[in-house]
Amino acid sequence: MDETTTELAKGSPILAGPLCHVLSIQEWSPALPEFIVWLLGTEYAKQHMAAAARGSSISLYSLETIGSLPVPILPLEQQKAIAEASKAGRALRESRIALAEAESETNNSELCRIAGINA
Amino acid sequence: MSDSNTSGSFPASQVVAQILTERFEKLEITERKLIAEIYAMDALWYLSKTKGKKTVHFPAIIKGLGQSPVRYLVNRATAGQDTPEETAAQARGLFEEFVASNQEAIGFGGELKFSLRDSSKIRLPLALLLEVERMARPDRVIAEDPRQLTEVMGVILNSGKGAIDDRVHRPGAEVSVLISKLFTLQPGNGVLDMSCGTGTLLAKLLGDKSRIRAFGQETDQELAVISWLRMELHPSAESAHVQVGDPLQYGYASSFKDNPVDVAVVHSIDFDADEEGKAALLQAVREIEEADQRISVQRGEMEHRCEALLNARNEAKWALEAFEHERSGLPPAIAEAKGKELAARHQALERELRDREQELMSLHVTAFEISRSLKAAHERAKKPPRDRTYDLIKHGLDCVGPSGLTIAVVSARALFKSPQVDRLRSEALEHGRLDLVVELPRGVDGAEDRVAILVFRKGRKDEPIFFVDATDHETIRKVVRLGSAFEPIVGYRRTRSAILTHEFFSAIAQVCVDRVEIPGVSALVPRSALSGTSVDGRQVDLRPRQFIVMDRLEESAGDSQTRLAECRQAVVNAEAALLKARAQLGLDPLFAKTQTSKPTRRPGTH
Repeated sequence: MDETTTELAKGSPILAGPLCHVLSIQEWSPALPEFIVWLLGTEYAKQHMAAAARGSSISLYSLETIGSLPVPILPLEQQKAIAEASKAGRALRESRIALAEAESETNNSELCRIAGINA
Repeated sequence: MSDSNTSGSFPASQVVAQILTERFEKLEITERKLIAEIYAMDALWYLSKTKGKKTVHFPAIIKGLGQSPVRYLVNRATAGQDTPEETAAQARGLFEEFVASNQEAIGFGGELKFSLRDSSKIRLPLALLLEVERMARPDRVIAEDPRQLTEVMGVILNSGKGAIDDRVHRPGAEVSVLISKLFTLQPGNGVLDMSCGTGTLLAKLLGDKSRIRAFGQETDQELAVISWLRMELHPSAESAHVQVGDPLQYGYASSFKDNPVDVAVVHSIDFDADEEGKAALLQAVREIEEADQRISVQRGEMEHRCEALLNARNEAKWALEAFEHERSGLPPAIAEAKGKELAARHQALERELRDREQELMSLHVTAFEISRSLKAAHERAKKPPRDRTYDLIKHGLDCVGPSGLTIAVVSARALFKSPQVDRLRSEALEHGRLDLVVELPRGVDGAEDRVAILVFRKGRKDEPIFFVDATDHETIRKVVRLGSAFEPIVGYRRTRSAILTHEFFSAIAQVCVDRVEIPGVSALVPRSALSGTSVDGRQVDLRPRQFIVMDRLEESAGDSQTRLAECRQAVVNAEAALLKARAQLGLDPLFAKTQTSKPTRRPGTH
């Protein structure tokens, strides 16, 4: 994918093109980027776009389909809070999975120690 | 919303991949090949017009009409002249004439003749041609970046399910990522791929480099042509040569002594061929032995029957002769009747004896033939089965210079099955050339078994051999931190395509290049360790796992508790962040807070 990435502003590598759109929020826009990211990941947005999506292994959305998604206009502070809550939810999920794995491995190690085996 | 977006450039190959993958997946292997072949011819035609590439010859009708091959087929189909089957037949005709015009360059001649396999059922719908032309017409791709022509071809051949590289067990895109990172090619270096398939590895190795001497060899005629076409399209492949034929006999094999390369790649993951061949031979011997026994029994029975018939016939003859002496004393009517009866019986026995003797004779002939085949089968069974993989590795080592590499992608069974493992071990012990052993999961390049990558390096000193166990993708994920692309999937088994990704192979390559011991993944093993015996008294084989220390073994109880405490603290922090974010939105807490672990209170400390 090295050849297919395009360096955009702030040095972030982003895959872009006729079928892979890079959406950037203009200054006058009433929506925060992180809020849009959260919105596009919701079932609401997925259901809206599923009907018009093309492709089987990779879903492809036209700009018109994305553009037709009604975006709730909320105060910027509230948008920011929603995005932060979403990010915190994901982080909590990952840390709980890591904890569960660590507990399971420690449990097994202790059982093996009792059984007198090295595993 | 549409006003507030920007788009960067996007390679045509990726566009074709995304749009056409679904269609290519449904196509037969022969159809994918034909479309790729026609597309490559088309691209070469445009290159000859725009870049003045003159080394390739085109069919007479294309030269005469001055139309590109795809346009010619589209025009015929649009005019209603051709059905999809007829378009496919036309395309095949064009391709065969194209190969015939360029056969010397590809290496055909002498006993190597080109012929397409039966492809009578191929369909080439107009819509597909139009879609390929619309999405990746060569003149537009050349204008954007000529390197993408070979990528588009790769997409047509190998995108999605049913990739040709996987079906024919040749180096695919993912394993090419790993191989290409195991060494660095400098301008002027040479590389030989002894089973180049559709040219995926060669295209990857050439990349955007220049002045690389690349040699490809392929036994499958059509794949050799496809690989040759792909190299002809590659802008960095001025000195790339693809030839058809067995790499041990044809093409580069005839000049390797005068023209050493720096890297030779062997790809031979069909381990079963040896064993199946041996099993088939033993089965044939068993069947011939059974047939021999059957025919011996039949022959014995027939001989016994013939003997009985001979006796009966002689008795009948003697009875007839005795009757001739006695008949004068009998009434004429009775003598006549008895004489006829005895003569008839004698003749019947004579006939049956003749028939049985003929049967016995044919049984003797069959028994002789069976005995000859049995002897030949025993001779064949005595000969050791040919180990083609090892022959190729040896040839690869002969082809590289004094400090060259030979990389072999083989079935992982060669790491422990005798006699294959014995030969590889002796290569490591006696010649000291084995440098790296990587065991990979199932499914690499379409293999049903695990696959191993062995790197042999000439001129290495007595350095330890690096073993990598990459069979467990979760371990690799943890060690190399593959990121969100490898988030655990709960509830169903991860598919091969989700495991065997570019990122996974890049991570393995990183481990191999760093050459650092990682618990659970890699180990540096002195060469002498291979001459030892394992706990069960057998000679040590080449499986990486036996040399690798598991990180859990190393972790003490204290370390486990520390790790648990860190994980708990991370959960507590994440919970606090979520509670705070929800409180800002006026939402109630979802859960009771997790308590951080406290040190155990010791008696007498309060």
